[in-house]
Amino acid sequence: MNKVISLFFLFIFYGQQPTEEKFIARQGRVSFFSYTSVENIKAENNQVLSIIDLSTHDIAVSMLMNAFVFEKALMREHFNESYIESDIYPKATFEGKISDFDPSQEGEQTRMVRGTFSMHGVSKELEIKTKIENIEGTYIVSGTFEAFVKDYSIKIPPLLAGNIAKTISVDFRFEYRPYES
Amino acid sequence: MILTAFLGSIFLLWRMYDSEDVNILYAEPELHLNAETLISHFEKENDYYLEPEKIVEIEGTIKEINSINNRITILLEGGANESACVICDMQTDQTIGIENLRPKDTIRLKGVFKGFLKDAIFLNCIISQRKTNE
Repeated sequence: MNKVISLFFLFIFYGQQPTEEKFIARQGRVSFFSYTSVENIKAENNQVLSIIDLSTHDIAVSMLMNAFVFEKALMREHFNESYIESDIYPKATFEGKISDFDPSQEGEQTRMVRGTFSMHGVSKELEIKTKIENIEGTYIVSGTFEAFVKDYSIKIPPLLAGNIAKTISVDFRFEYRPYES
Repeated sequence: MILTAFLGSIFLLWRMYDSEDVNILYAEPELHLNAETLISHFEKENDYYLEPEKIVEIEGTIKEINSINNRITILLEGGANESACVICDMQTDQTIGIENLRPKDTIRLKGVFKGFLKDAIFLNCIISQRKTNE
């Protein structure tokens, strides 16, 4: 009888496990905004890579800094050459874990993601409130966080200090599909 | 005379600041590559095979065309490693003819190479030449 009960629970448990554990977003979007009274700067990267593991709730993000698109060519040049130094630090990464994430829950859930964000050679611990949507087995993760320019050793020349906000607003949105390795 | 030179400098600086990205349509590619060859080099961790910011003409088989993030993107097959591909973010004026393209068509695109994550990433892409398998 005990064997039958064990087999029943084993069946129920594995039956609920998703067949694909890893999901990938190859064209995730990360955009940032800098608002000052002098000028507003907006940039967008639409080729951000992210992988989530539904079994461990791990999330990893990687982006090319030179793939940010700006409204003006000179803004992009300043960003890559003077501030981010994308030839020396070509990528920004995030590695973290989604707290209390239930991949089997259909619809929307708001969860905290804790992890390490690395950019311009500096790593910072972040805690980000994220919206996770499960629509028929595909996942959309989105949210916003604020980054302090001084935290990432980004040097702004005094002459341009008024043009760039001290706090940058960062938006992200990833649409995941099952990962076929 | 001095005033003219001063105003001229201001105008040039403004034009420089206000300039948009280079239009790939008129740019000469520095390299002509095959999508599968490119991916195979990155798979072998030959990171220096292609430098970022180079204008490249790349030929390959269409894996997928999508409009994620409201941008037209063409993904080219990466060959033996099916999970890696070439991601080409199309220039906003590249709308004509895209609707006739299908997966498995062969296409030649021109764009700016940005780097490699899991896939090779190209921005400002335009259709250089289209060859269908029909």
